[in-house]
Amino acid sequence: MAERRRDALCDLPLLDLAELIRTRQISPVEATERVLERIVSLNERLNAFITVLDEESLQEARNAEREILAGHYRGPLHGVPISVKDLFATKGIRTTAGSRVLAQHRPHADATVVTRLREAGAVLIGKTNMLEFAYAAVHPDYGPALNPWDPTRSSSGSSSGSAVAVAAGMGYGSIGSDTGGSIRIPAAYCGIVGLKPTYGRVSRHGGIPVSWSADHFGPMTRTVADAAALLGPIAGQDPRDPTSADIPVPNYAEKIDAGIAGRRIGITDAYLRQHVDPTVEAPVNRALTTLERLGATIEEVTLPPPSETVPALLAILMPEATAYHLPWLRSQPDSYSQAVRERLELGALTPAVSYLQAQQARRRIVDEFLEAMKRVDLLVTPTTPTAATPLEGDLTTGDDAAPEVLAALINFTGPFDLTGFPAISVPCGFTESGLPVGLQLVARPWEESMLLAAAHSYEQETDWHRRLPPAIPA
Amino acid sequence: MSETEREGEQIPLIRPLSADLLRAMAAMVGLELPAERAAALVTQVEPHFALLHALDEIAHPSTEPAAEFHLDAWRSAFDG
Repeated sequence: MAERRRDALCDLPLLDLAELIRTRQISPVEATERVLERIVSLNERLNAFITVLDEESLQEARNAEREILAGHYRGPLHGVPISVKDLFATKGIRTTAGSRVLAQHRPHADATVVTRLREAGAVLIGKTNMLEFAYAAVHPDYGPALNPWDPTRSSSGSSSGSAVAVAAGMGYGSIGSDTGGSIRIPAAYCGIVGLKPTYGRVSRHGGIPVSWSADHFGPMTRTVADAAALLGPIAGQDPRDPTSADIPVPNYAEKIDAGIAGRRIGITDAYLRQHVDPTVEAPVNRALTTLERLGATIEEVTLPPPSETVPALLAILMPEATAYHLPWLRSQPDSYSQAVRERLELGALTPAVSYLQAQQARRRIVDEFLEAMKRVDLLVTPTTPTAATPLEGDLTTGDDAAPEVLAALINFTGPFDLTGFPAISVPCGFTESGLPVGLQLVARPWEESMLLAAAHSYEQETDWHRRLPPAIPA
Repeated sequence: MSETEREGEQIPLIRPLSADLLRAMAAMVGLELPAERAAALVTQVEPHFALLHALDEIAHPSTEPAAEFHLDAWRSAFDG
């Protein structure tokens, strides 16, 4: 069967639509109407959205159109339909975090990322489905967001609805959150780009937390350049998030064509081959060859293995999550799904000493990663050990809260939530059964520009990101 | 303290971790764990504590923990 390409308006990259809007070939209203039509045709099947903002988004699109026609063009997000994961506070709009606990929650104010998207002129098209409280399991009240490449396969999570929406043309980008891999894993499973910026780069204010010290917010898009276009407006210090950093935000779009020639890439067995399915290993190896052809050099490095980094991450995030949820866990435990409730209960049983040991380990692990990255500019790993797993029995839909199952899934992504280093997942091929495979690139803190340029350079050599999932109607 | 001395100090996992013990531990943080919940949790707790015990190998007691105060940022928040 011939591969289908992204040609329809809904399936264009964000920046292509932005150019059509800037040059007044397409109006924001028309773009929004088309996306709403796509949502109507697909969302019942794919379950990507918890709330669709049809009337509100059309009003925002009309406002954008009026501004643009009056000569007040704000930039590449102006008039572009974007979604956000349903854990970002939206003033007066239901924000459920995929939970029964917050099923009727209507915040008084927008999260900082939402405010910044609005300031950039984006049209908020809806709030996407997600795993309950971004904690690795679907709540039965909402059900899973189905993978548009194969609805019998998982879209993983926790930013599952965002990944499905972007892959299936229901919006031109989305903002997700990532504590163990929740942007990058669903991005890999659904064949899109997912960027987890450096910890502190994007304000966490107004996002419902999993783990204060490991939560990251970032863009999910169809191309790397689109991710750069979305990151710029949402990045930067925010006085309402004390961990957001006072570090200048570069113009990511300006540096996107910097290439990868001369960059040194570090690899190591523990982050490349161990427990990796052959259907993933093969495309990742081919991607390394492509990166070399583009002028990068590849060398072996020594890194703290996932067997050290992932336990440290879990020992931090589990009690942090429980500390946030404790009042609800005491007052309405039956509102949680069984798996999330068990994880929260396990967090309550985690000794303070273990938490502090994990923070001690974190310090050492960060130092060791930084030391290794004195010799190399980037690390490359598969994003996940396998392509999308069957939905039935998947971690996200089962009742099994076993920490070792979660640990295996986040082997390659979790370490960079622990260390806070920026990391991006880009499509790097497909399995024989037609499932996307993700390649992860990792940079030193605050080097998102270089990371994006490297990922963009790779992407330009391939066409994986142009393929259209079968769920999209012909 | 040498590595050998540290290894000698390792505390073996208490077996079995009973449902009653878990209920008592949860109660210490004000969490009521019904008997059937505690029983269901027993199977999860063992791997959880095994994971936590792995930290003995990777956490150096003299290392400053990574969690930090950012008082400068709090001042900005107050001013802002």
